[in-house]
Amino acid sequence: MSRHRLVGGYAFRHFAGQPQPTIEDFGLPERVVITIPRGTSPAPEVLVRRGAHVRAGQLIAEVLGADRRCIISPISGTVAETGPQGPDGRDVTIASDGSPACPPLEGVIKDWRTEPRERLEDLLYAAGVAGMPTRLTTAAVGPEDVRHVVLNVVAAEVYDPSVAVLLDGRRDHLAQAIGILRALYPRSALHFAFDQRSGRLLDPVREALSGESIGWHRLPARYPQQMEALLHDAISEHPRAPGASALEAGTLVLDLQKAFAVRDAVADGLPAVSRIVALCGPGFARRPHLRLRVGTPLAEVTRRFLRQDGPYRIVEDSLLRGRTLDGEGGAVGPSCSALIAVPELAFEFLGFARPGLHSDSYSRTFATSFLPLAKSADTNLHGEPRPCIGCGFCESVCPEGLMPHLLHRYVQRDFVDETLVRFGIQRCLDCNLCSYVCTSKIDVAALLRTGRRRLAAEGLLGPARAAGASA
Amino acid sequence: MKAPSISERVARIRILRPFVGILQTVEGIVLGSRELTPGAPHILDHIEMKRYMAVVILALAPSTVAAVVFFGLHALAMIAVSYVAGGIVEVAFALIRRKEIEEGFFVTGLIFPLVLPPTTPLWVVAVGVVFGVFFGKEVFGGTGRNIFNPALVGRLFVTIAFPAMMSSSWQLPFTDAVSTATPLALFKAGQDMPPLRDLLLGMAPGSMGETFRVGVIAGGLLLIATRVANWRVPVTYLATVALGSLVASRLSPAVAPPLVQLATGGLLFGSLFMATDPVTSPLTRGGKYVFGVCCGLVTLLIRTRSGYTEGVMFSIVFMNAFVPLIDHFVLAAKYPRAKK
Repeated sequence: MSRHRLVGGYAFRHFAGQPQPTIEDFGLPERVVITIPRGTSPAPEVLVRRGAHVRAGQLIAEVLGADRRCIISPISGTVAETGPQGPDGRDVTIASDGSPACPPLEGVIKDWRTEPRERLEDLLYAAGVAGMPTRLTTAAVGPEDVRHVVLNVVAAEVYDPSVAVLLDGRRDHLAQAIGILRALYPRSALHFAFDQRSGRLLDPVREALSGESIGWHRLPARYPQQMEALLHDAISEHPRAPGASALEAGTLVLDLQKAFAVRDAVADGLPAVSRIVALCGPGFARRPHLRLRVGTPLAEVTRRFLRQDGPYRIVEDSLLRGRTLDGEGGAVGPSCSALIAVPELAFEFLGFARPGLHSDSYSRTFATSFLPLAKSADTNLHGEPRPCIGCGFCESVCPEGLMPHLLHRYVQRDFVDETLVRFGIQRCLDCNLCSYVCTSKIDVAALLRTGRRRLAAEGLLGPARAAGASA
Repeated sequence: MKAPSISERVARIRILRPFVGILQTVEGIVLGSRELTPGAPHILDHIEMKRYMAVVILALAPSTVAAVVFFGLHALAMIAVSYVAGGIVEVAFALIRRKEIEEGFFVTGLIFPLVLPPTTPLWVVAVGVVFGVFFGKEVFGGTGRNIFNPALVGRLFVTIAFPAMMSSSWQLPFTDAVSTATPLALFKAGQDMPPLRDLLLGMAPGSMGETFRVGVIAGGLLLIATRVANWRVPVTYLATVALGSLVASRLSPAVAPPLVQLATGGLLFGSLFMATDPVTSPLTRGGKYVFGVCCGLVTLLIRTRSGYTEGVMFSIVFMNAFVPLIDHFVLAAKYPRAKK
């Protein structure tokens, strides 16, 4: 039973290049690259010098300010280099010493059930688990303000890691994670958000937890239902202020990996040094799920798995919202769940006239609308930019019910004033669906972001949204 | 680094620079786009303007083929002249603006001759389409900025400039014979009309595209099914005409009953292909309903109360002028100003 049904949205189905339901141990990388983010306070100090030996799980920097957290070393080895402070942060490179051991955290506890909440919070913090409101973080809300905790198992992206692979053999751990979350947030309600497919995989968990009061919400697997703000809208009776994030509205959203990281930190004292990353997209020759250390250089992954008939673009997590990763210099980030390789296709002979046996489209003008054929993904624009004709596709898919075709015209013509606020521009979630479906190939979402930025600069947006718009 | 495209190479030669837009158009058609997404979203929908317009032309194909079959080579000549004459205006503006040729013209160039009587002289077709494209679209700033449907602007112009030619010689299909009255005119004069089956299959005189009504309906359904045309406008337009004439025909025998209204004149063609033009119909969903209803009412009014037998083209152009106002009120209702 969902409180607010998703309007608009778009279901990405049948895309070829889904990750295989297997998991492989990538092993230790030769070196790892950790980015110490800038944060909002004075730049965090790196606590280890070049040449110092670090253990896996050892603290190497502490990011202060909002979203305060620990940055820990994912491997044992020697600090090879601490890069200069850049606009995003600084990189620390650690060369592996080949030892896979990962000692438990200091202060590991025997039975978390008997410990006070503060000890659990300390462990989480020391393990490097970020984004959880505790007494130690100064995140958007404090732990007392968390009203709902949602475990997100909705798979609505173009490519998603396999829930079956993530859950494999860890159903008990999931139940433990629920217990730990209850201990951390005793006053909040717990929920599972799942779709039709993952719901079946969660049935044993649901049975095991049948005595507990947990909300079970079946939601449509339609992008962008899995976005935190929309999960909040679906499960919470508290309305979210326009433009506010889920956390600001009192809902904490965790995905499965985060829940397991919480459980591992508290129940076993394991620092968050490794992740399961799904390889997706037509650019990878094989697409297993990889268990690898945070900070593994992308070059090591691409060397082993990327096809050689490139060029391919590597995107983190979401083809609609994720950032491009540098295949040579980039590394696996601490919250990365999927690496997606899509071809950078520079031309398609008579592209517009083809029957479209592999072309995805919101309009039903391609064969894929009528036949369940495998769809291809590539970074081609598939058309030339044209003026807006008011086809209305963007309005039909907008999950907030906005009118992007109207709003972007105002921004284009420089009419940036309260009218845009009246039309709800601050409710935009940045899901980028409007840009995806645009027939005229206009980057509508970018124009809406520009509009919000200008409104924030003029002080016309509310305080909550202004903080997000300036980011 | 990408190898420079043909149009990029041509752009380096100064004297050829104005033609780059045209070259890019051809390149885009044959080779598809060379551009990649700059960032998120990293993949894009495969729909594009060329395909969008190609679907509209596909939907117009049954009417076009029927027009050529019914009315012979002159119909083909009219279509060719329309594309060439209108195309000259389009290309001229593309050159002046240094942009690619906008695809919307490929639909306008086909729709315009389809709303003309099959006996229209070719020079009238040329004059009409040039007027329509120029004053109906280009002076407003080109595609996406026009208020009025360009094909209808051209049609209005030739109707008012050459009234006799436009209303009194209607060719019967498969013959060279010319009659002076369309079924609607016959009804207005109180005379017998052709049976429904003839009306649907195109055995009755009318403008080139409207006669093969089965094809028009099929094409219209294709447009709605592919989401290229929004269903709200044609459904409310036709429903209003049907309901309005149902009520009015009971009150006065001078008003044709619903089935006659729907099956005669350019109503089906106009509501499915012209009122649905996304640029000239309202942006808001509520506005689309209002637009459809008002078009229906004005059509009925013109058909019953005015000297013209056919009201569709006038009513659509008339309502096009009100579209910004309709949108304004719908937006004001949907997003009320905060009370201070």
